[in-house]
Amino acid sequence: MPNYFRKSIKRQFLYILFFVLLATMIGIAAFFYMHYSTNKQYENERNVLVEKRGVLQNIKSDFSDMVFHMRGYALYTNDQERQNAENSHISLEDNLAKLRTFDLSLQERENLARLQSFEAIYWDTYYPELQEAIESDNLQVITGDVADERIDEINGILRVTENLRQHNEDAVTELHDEFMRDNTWESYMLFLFVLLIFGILLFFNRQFTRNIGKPLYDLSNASYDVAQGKNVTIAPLERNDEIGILSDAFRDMTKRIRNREQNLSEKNTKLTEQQEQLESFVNDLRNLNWALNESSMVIVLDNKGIVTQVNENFSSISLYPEKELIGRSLLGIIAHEENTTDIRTVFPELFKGHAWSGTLEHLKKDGSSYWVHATIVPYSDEDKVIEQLIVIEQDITRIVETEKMLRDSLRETEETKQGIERMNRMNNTLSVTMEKQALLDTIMKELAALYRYDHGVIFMTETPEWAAIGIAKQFEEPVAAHFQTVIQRLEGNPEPFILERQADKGEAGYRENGICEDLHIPVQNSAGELVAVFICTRFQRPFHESEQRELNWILRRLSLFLDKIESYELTEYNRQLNQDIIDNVNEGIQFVSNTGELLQYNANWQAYLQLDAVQSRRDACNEYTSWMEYSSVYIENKEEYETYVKQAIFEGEQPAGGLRLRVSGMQNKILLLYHVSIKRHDEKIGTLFVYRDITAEYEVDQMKSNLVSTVSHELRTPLASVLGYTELMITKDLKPERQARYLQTIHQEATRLTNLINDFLDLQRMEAGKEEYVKEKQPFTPIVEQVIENFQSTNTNHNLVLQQNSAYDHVSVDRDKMIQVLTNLFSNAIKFSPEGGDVVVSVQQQEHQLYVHISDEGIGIPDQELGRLFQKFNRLDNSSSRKIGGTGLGLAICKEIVEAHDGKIMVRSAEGEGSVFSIVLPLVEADKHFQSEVECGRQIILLEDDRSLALLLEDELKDAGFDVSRFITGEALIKQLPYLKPAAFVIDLMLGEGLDGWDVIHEIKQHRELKQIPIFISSAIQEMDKAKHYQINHYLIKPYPPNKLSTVILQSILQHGNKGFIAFKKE
Amino acid sequence: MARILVADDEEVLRMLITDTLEEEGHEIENAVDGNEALQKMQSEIYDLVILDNMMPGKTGIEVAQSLSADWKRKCPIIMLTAKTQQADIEETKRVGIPYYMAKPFSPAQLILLVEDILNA
Repeated sequence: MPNYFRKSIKRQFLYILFFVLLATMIGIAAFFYMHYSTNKQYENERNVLVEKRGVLQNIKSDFSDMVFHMRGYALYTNDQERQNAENSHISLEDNLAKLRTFDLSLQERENLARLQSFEAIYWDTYYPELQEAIESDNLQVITGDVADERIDEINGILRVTENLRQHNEDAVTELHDEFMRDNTWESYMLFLFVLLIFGILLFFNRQFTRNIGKPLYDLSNASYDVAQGKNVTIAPLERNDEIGILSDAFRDMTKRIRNREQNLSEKNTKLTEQQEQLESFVNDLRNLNWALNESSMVIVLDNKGIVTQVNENFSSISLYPEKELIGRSLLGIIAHEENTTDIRTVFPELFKGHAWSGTLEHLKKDGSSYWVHATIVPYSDEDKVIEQLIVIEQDITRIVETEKMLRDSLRETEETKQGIERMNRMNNTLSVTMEKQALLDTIMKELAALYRYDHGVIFMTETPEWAAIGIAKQFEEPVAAHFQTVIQRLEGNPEPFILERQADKGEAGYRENGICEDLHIPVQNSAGELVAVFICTRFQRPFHESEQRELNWILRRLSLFLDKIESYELTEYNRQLNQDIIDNVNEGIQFVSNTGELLQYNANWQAYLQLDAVQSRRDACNEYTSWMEYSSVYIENKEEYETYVKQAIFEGEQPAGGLRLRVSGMQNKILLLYHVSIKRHDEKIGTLFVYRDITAEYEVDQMKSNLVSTVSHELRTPLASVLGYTELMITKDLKPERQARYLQTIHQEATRLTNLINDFLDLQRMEAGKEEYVKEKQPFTPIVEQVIENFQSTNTNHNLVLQQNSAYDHVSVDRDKMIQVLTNLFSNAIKFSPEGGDVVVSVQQQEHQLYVHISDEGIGIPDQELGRLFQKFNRLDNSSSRKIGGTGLGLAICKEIVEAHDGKIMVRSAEGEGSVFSIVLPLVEADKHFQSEVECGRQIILLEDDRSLALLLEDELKDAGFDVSRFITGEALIKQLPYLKPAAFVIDLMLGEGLDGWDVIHEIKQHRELKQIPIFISSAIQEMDKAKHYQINHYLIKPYPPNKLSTVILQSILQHGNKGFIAFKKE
Repeated sequence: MARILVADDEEVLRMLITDTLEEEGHEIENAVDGNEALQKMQSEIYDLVILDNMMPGKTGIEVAQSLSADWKRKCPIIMLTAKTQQADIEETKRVGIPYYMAKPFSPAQLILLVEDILNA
């Protein structure tokens, strides 16, 4: 708040004024209130006194009246008087009562009490006495002394009333005096108050003068000093009001003024320097002007283009005297038409204030012209109005003339160059083009550019190629007909000719004169036959003799190119033919130059050496080291190969005979390599290598030699026994039991020999296709039952079981041969499970085929043996199997028999687990009711997220006669579980995200119908404890051969049926 | 009196040779395949080994190849073979076995050959 007032003088002033006014008002108001209340009080008191005086007056008169009338009654005993006296009495009592209500002094109260007591005595004592006296008519009683005494008393009372009145008068007078005194005192007070206000006003006035006047005075002094140019400093005022601001502003102002003065003086110095510079410029300009006048022509024009001034230089060159020039228009001197129009277009720009410069042609007085380089500068006055144009010119006549000559010669050179370039380009294109069509297109386009004909066509007479420019793509009939006549004419007379004709409307187009020329030129090959015709047309521009000659020459060259293309095509055709021939030869062929470069080869060479994967045919690098490297990738005897090839190519030596190459890779091959030197004119030009595929011969050879040695071994071993023991018996003296043993052995070995020979002959006959089969349509199961019966009688160690899962099992077979097969397989199953166990045969139908599985729990077959199990003399190569014996031909015979029935025989086995042999035979007339039971018990649920593995397992399981439903996620399988009734589950444990295999197994085991179904785990991890918990049938640890899975599934199902067998294999 | 190892996978032949040579008073041991033969030859000392060529596990030729030249010098080996081609005989010689007998053979011949070798 104080700040608010401190900031403004006006506010301070108003504040004080308000304060004084307020004080004055309050003072006056107080004074008037006092005055008013004094008057009021006086009036009140006076009214009371007046009223009291009235009452006292009444009392006095009433009292007088009462006494007066009572005396009248006493005197006259007049009742009227008595009545009046009583009325006065009542009035007196009223007034007394009134008087008592007033504020009374002590003396007045005493007087009043005396009045009242008298009144009481008067009415209570005197009045009854008087009444009694009157009634008794004894008035004397009350006359005399009594009357005197009483009159005194009444007079005394009358004096009292008078006293009261007097007293009242005094009080009134005193009141008035006091009032007058009060008034006087109030007047004094008012006067004093006014004085006080004046004093306060005076005090504030003085304060103001000191606070405002003094600083203002200082400031005005300072500003006067500043105006006088004196350097002034004033102390800052610590104030916030206008004066404070004024003082600060003043200080700033003085500071700024000082700075500005300083700047001004600096600028002044600079200005002086500039002026000096300007003067030197002016000097220079004067010199320049002189130089300009010496070297250039200067013309000054007014703003209408009229010459007002020229220098000597101009008049001496133009040959006009100065006088003749002044007053003429500039356009008049620039007589040349082109340039005159040119300069006119420049004028508007000039009048906008832009300078112009360019080349002008002037006329001399003698009429000849000269060239100048002119610069026109507009010159404006202060109001920017163009007053003058100044033209400065240099004579450049010689330069212009030289330039013109140069330009002409340059254009000519350029044209020639373009023509040559075009010709060159055409030649280049033609010489590299190996296609007729491209050749014709090129020549048509290039010649059109060179000779500017409007349209043209070139066409081959023998082959369909043609090219055209400026005409529609397809020839119309009449045109084609015209071509025929042209060909005929040119064949007769092979000279170029020109036809002049009226152009068609469509052809001529906008041209009025429709004359056009068709130039016809024949193209002949080296044999002089017409091979192509060139026709071109020009409107209005006839062909020059020279152009004709040129065209003719060019087209003669074209015939050379055509010849070249023809021979190239022929060569290419022959080359292709040769390539086709050598590609279709059964041998691989490779031709190598003397430097080792690979010149040619055929497809078989690549195929035999399996080069597809290494290098593709054309982008192979043909250097010796390169092809040697990539071609020998799959050759096993690489070093021999390299030596052989090296010698054949580089050294004169000719390695005798051929070389056998063993090639491995996608297929294994045996190649016979031999070479021939190719000679031309008795000079070796290269080496031809021939690769013959002898794989088949080699294999047959190999097999033959194997067979011979095997048969020889198989026959000689029993023979050795027979001979040996016989010899012992002959030469030695032996005990009878030993003799018996030897004889038994001899018999056994002789039987073996017989069996062997029988089997061998059987097989030979079968292989040669000479075996006769008596096929009859019959159910298969009875055959199996018969074989089982045969075995059961002699075999107690093994339990033979037949499981029939098929209602329909009709096949067309030779019963005896099938018995032979089954007997063989059963005896194998029994022989190879020396520890006993079940041999289960199942007969199942799968679509149109009958599957017969024979499963054992024997020693199994090692993986590496499986492949050649069905080959001749291929007995299991381990000691335990040797013990078992056999001819080694049984399975080969089985295979022959089954295949003769259009069937297949397969084996699945896991070493130590047992084997499953399967025969697949086609069902006959199996078209009626076999669908129904197919699905039941043949479905395998495969849960596997790895696609490639799943496909592998699926194939394998399908081969084994199962239907496979594959699931990728556990969730999907669990969803389907209620609808499934499979023969087995194959479950992978690791299934990526989501549920794993164990979750699925857990779920399966919750289903009452599914929990008996065998589960096979196929996993890379081994969690046997969990497996035991869930009673998992088999745990296959990845990686395992796919056939192991089908083996264990088949075994498990066949051996134990779908009876919910849950057990661990003996691992 | 010599200690002889007879290695042949055919039991009857093994028995024939054993009987024949035991009559002559030799001590005979048997091996049923190539692997067993090799293992016995390397762990025990014999005066002579009769080795069948066509054996499972390892052929007679392979067994001979596995043996050191020194071993073969100390202990003579007779190879029993069903093959009589010149090439097979040469192969036998090549792996360091100078003696062979072609099946079928006469026990008397065998006795003679054994005596010859042991007396040499």
